[in-house]
Amino acid sequence: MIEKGNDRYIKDIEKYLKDSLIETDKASTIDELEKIYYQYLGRKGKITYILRSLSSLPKDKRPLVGKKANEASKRIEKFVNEKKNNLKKKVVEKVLKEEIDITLPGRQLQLGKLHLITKTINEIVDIFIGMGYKVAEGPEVESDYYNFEALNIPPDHPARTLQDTLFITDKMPLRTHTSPVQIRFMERNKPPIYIISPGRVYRRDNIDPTHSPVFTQFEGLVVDRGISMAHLKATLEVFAEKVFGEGTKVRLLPSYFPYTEPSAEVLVQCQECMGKGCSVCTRSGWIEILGSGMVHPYVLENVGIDSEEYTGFAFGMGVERIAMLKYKISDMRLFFENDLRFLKQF
Amino acid sequence: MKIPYKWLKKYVDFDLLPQKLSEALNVSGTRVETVTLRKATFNNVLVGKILKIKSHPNSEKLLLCEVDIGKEKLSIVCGAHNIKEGDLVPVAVVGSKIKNQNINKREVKGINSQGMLCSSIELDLGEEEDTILILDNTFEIGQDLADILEINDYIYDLEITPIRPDCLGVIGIAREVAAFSNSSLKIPQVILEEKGLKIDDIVEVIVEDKKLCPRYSIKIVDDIKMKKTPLWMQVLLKSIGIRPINCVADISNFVMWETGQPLHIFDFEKIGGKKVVIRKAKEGEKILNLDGNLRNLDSSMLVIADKEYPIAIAGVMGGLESEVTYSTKRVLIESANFNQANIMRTSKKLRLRTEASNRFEKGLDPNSTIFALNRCAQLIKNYTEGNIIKGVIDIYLDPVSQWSVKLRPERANKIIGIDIKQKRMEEILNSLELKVKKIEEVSRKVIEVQIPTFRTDLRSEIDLIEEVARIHNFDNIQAILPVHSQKGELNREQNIVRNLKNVMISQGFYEVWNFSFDHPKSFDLLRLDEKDQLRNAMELQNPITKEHTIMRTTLIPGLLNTVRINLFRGETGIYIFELAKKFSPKEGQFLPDEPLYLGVAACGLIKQSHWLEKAEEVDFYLIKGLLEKICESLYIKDLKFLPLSHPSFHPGKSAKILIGNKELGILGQIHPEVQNNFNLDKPVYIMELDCNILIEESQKCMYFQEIIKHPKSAIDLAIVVDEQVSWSQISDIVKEEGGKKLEELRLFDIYRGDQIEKGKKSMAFNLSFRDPKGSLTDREVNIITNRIIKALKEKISAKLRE
Repeated sequence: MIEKGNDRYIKDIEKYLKDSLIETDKASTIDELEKIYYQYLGRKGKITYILRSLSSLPKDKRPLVGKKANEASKRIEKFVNEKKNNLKKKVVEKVLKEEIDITLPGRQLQLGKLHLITKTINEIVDIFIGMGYKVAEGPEVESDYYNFEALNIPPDHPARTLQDTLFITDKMPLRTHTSPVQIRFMERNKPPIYIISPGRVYRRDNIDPTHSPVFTQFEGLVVDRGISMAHLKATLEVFAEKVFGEGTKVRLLPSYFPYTEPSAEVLVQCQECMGKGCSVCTRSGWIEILGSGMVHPYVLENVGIDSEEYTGFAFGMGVERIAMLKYKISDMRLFFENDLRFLKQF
Repeated sequence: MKIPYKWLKKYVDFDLLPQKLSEALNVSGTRVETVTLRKATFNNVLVGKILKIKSHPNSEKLLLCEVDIGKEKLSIVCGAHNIKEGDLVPVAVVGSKIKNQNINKREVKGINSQGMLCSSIELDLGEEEDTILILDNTFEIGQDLADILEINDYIYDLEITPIRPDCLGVIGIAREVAAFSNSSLKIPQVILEEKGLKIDDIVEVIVEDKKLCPRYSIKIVDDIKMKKTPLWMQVLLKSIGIRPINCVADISNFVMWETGQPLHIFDFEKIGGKKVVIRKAKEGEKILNLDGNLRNLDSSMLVIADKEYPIAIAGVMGGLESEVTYSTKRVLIESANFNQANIMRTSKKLRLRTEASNRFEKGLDPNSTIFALNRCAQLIKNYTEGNIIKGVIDIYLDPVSQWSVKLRPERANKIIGIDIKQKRMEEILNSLELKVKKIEEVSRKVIEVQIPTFRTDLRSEIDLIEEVARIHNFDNIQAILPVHSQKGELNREQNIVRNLKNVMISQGFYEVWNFSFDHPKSFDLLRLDEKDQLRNAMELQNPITKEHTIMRTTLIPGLLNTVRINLFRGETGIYIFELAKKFSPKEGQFLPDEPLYLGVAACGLIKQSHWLEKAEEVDFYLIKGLLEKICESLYIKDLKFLPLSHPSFHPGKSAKILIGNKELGILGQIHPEVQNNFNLDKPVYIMELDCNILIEESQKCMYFQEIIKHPKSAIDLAIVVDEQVSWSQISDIVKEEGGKKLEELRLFDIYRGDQIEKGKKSMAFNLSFRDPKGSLTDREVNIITNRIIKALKEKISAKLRE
């Protein structure tokens, strides 16, 4: 029930209107204006209350009170909004006057870096994933069988004198290459095989600018029907172009590895002189980067793959060597010294 | 294997210039490591004959010589007195150069000297005393000395693969050159003139171990007169890196280099009992070798012995006592074939590698002993005026004969990926002295190839395919990518490892790679107990250095050393990680386990002081936060932290990390003593995580969580609790009571001080609530908050702080 008289309503409306206009005029922040708006026109606002109470008024009075209240509501709203816009403009003007020294040092969020070996491995892995290869891994402490015998290097084979091996026991070497991974993979999987195997390898070499007892190798193996040296050559061409840049030429020269035949050393055009001959490539214009060849039939037969039906190629390279050529690093020791000034560069 | 260009030319008639030869050798599979241009240190030094010697009119010490150099006669003043009229001597004429010094016309004590007579030292031709070099009568007046000795030449250093010992001789290389250059081989003719006694009457040879010595051939040269080695041979030997010794020894080295067959020469008079026995050494036997070292022998080693004692280690090195000297009169030349594996093992055991052992350990052709033997005998006779004693002793019980290998040209083309005509293949094989016989085999074309015994490497079809491919030239292969339908990808573990590294760098950490080696002293530095499992490491049998003797069982020493190096070099903030394998031996398992671990170390400032920010030191919570990020990225929840009792860690600032009941790893500040042990002047925080657990626990499949559109309500609470109350106690209660509507709980302040009771701390945290069903009213939020406060009061006696 309505308790107040009609006139009282009209008076109230006028008072509210007047009050609100004064308050709005005084207001100096957006927040204050919001409050004023809420106080008069919000869900529980004073004008809103009157508008909601109209139905309890006598019918003949309703139009007048209603009209007055609506008018007041519109005026308040308009006035508040105008004031709001003025204030916003002032804020913009004020903010625009701010000025900073844009040459002061920036605030740094931390960013670490992958080791250059990881970065290089990832880069090469991605090239070969793009060509349909999977990544295979295996133990670093190996048996003589996987590291040598299964790779056509029986005991007393002259190739055993080619590299010095670190041993745990006579029959347990630290792997000298990641080739044992390939043997293990072929034992468990049938062709077609397209794999790469990056990983740490070990040699009994003293540390110097081009040698390290621990380094990283990256090997690839393909076994499929009809695989030939032509496929090997094309695959390595793609690899060289992706790593060293478009148009990098690749050359295969005959070589010897016990587990491949024919075997080939792979040379890429010297990046320093673009094949003209310089001190980096000992004037030949070419730099040896990896060893490769057609998988020896003995190796295939040994893991139960019919070497008449399937042929394959394999290749292997030193990751550090690739990175050294690519980034012009002259000392291999930097890779394992872990000086942050080195690590931060890549 | 070094070989001078001009020497090679004597054995094969090729017309490739030095540069082209290098290329052709490389392309055909004989790797040229270096080519060095060797130049004489003199020029315009001619052979002159001393016609007359007079004494110098103004000096007693000097001589005045009249020297014929062919086109003119010169008058030369000379200080040395070892010359006589008729001698041939090297004459540096006016305008010549010796070791960069110009020889000019000059006046010596009032007499003009038109040049200089030279000593061997001045010409770099020997290390003899400072007297005039007297040339033998093979020289002719007027010859240019550098030319006639072929000093100016290209020296090739070739890398010979271990299966081609036939190429460890100039003739072997000449054969290769003949094959790729289509030229003919010129093998020296050996014609032996023998006279006098018969060899069988002078010496007895007994081969006791025929397996280890498949062939033993000897000849004897008598009445030798030891002379200087001919100059050309000295020049040659020096150019290939062999020091001239005496005429006989030099000839044997020369023939070895020429034929690839090692020879050994004994002073026959020093062979006791005139008996040569090839037998295994007796336990305890010793030999004094040519290099002056006394070596202990064992019964696995083959020796050449006289009637009593070893006089040489077969195929490795001779004995000093039977060495040929300047007084030797009669020599026994040995040209033998020894078992490849046995020589390799002996050489390895004695740590003695020689030119001979290097050849024998690759497996030589037993049929090559006689040619080298005869060639050596002939040269010794020629240069020492000796007599070759009649006959040869040649013990060769099981002669090796040629074998044949079949080749399918179609198969060759398939493997090479090329189309070489059969005729071309046959040409290639013939050029390598591999005789081709054509035969048909069940309608398929097969070539049967006769293999000469010096090609010990050619045993199966694939070997012949390689020969065809390399001589045909790999450059002729057209590259084609393989076509296949395999899917390239990283597997789940590999993907997780790669992501893990990316999370680490996104948090500001640098990846390091340390060696996989360690040293047991690291365990002491880490304060590990005597029985600590980590001490159970694999030991290297043949470590390279004293610091690297075991395979590491923990990543921590490597990380701490890396921190130290970087601190030492002036870094103020070090945050590093390594993802690598540890090696732990396992009972009942041949190979060790190689679990993958993530090791993290942080030290110093995590934030440098900046004009907007204060410097911040690394602490426990930084590493813990890192761990939380790692787990967040792998969708691992429910990490638990328990106090850690580990000798390497600070007991009050370290934790064991669990996921469920699996131990993920450890984390904390290193023990201050460990810090001192590793010479670190700042505390280091370490974390080591088992990557296999991370991989196992990472969520394989994630489902979308509905995003609540309703507004969130937030409230701050501050409670005062006893110092002993841990945050996890508080957060467990809050989460329990907060229920599903509690979206987030964030601790934002801890206060200890005057405003609260001693022994207590104030913990202030922010609670965010959200209801999936609708907007939360103030009343609802109050109900939950009160429930939380009540529980905190009851369970941990918390007091609400005003």
